[in-house]
Amino acid sequence: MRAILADARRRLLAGAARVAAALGAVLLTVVYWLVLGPVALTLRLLGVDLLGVRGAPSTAWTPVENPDPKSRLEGAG
Amino acid sequence: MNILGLSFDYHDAAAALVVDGVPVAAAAEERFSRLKHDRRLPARSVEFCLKRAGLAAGDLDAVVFYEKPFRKLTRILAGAVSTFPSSGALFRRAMGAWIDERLWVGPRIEAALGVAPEKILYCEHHLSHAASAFLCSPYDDAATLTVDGVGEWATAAIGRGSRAPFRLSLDVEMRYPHSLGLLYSAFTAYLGFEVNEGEYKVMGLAPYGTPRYAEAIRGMIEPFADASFRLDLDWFAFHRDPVRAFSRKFEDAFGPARAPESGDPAGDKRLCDVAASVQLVCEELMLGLAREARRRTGSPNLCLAGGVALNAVSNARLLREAGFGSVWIQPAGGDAGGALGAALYAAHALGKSPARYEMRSVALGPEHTAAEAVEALKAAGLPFVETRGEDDLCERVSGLLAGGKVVGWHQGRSEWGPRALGQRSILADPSPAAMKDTVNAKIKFRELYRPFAPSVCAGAAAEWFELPRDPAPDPYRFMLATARTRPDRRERLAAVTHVDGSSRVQTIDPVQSPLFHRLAESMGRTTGVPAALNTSFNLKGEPIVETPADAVATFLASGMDALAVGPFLTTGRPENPQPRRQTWDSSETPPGASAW
Repeated sequence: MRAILADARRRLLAGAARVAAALGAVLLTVVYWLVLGPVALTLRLLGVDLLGVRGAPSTAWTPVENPDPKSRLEGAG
Repeated sequence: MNILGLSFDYHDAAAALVVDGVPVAAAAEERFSRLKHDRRLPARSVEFCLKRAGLAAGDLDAVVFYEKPFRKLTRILAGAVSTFPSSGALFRRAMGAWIDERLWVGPRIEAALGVAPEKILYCEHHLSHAASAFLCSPYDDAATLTVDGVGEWATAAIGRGSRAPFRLSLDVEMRYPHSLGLLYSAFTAYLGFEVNEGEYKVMGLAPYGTPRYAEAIRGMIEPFADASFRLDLDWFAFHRDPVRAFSRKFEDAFGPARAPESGDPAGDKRLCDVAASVQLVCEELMLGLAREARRRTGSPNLCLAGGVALNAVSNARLLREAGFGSVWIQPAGGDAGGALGAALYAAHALGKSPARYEMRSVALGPEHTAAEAVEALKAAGLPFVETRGEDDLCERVSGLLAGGKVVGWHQGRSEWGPRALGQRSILADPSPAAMKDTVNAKIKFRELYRPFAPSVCAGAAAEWFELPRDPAPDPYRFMLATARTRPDRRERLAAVTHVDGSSRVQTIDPVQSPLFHRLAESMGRTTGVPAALNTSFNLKGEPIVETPADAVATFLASGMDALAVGPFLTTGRPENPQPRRQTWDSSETPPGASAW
């Protein structure tokens, strides 16, 4: 009996994961078109170059800020 | 201070434990889980590290993750915004992975280790790489150069380090999507190899071709006078596609891409020429970056890390041509090495007076007891003998090798990094040319064109190879650079000399690797060549073996003739052999995950 219940639970969780993945994909598609899309178009109109692919720079090096070693380790961002 | 460094979530998850500035244990998760390039939180590696040091998680002063995840997320979002509306699939895949796990690095570490949130720190990706090289090097002051696919935003960085007072800074960085690592990976994918795994296969394929496409590849790159460059994104797709690395323009220029792992690429001149071309351009760009590091810092010493630092051919040119007096390269140059670098950086940033450390050996992994070896051999029904000490073991094994046998060699603590350096190796006689095909086809089950490396006594290396100097620079100790086999010696080293006359030499230090050195000496007495063909103890697609049981399983699954585990030697086979296992489970690394 316990094995049958465990198997049923495993199948239920697997099914739920598939439904969650499908719902997630739908939600992310909506976010992509309704949130990212307008942001992307606005930035494009303003000429913002987030990836550094336009213009004619003389270098691709970017200077790096070097805070003190201890504070450099703080925070995930 | 006890500091644990961690890398995970992309590829090559690893843990490294640093006690008072000295690494006491480090290992990649794949060695325990048996999943090649395992990317999951390295719980088993952590368990090993703590056990090795006799510590509990509560004894840790800090746990340092090897990059800044939120900063990385900003880059992925910026990429998706910039390539709208063609980045929909990439956005869905990437955000799915981020929402599932990558946003929660801190809480996952807390849950897995039970450490307080304030003990969890984050070290920038390229700073972790730079620390993994500089703080393992012998230098008081040095320039650092780190080059890989991409970290948070950076794809390459030049910096400098000094030990007293401690300072490790990144001066300048190149940023995504302009990346030498991603350029090389795009060609890796084009040539039908797995990204983050097959780059060294491209390097091995290159000598079969001529670089007739080099000019076309240079045309993908906008170079600047200071050795930095931008990629022309019309050639690539990695910035907008979750799986595909190169665009249609790529195939228009170079012909159709090779289907993944199909046929023999060495038999296709076009593919060989493409490999030769991208390898040449990679070497040129690396040389430029190294010379720029020299110009900016003025230092005579260079510390190198990042995935591109594992390109042994490029490293050999760098040793000779970049203008540095001395170069040190982190043996675990890829993301696994970031775990060690992050821990070392924190040890110096937080510690009062961490000990000075220089990495002379990569034996930082687990060690297994004689009882475990006996148990594994008995469980497999293998007859074995216990040798009478190390001299006896080396004499017997060198005798087998000289007789044309292929021997599995499992000794001491396993290696840190992707190279087998005499702790978990498959060994053979380096002289007969046919031995290369034998080991490729019957032992490793891998592509016939791929070369093997020689491990040679350090004191004799210059007699056999054209090294930049004698004794050989440190990178040769860790098999990180190639050298030309001396023309008059190539016949004696036919199995380990590539078609262009080069070899990826490992020089064996008698102090750091006494047993392996003794074996090579014994080979010298038996065959006249103080060297062995040395390849990693695994089969195609599998991680290197870790335990004696792994070694026995791989021995039984392949055509090896003998196996030495610690002092025990077996040349037999069980009466009822198990069916040959092809591989363990395949990698869980999602395809094309290099950039997101």
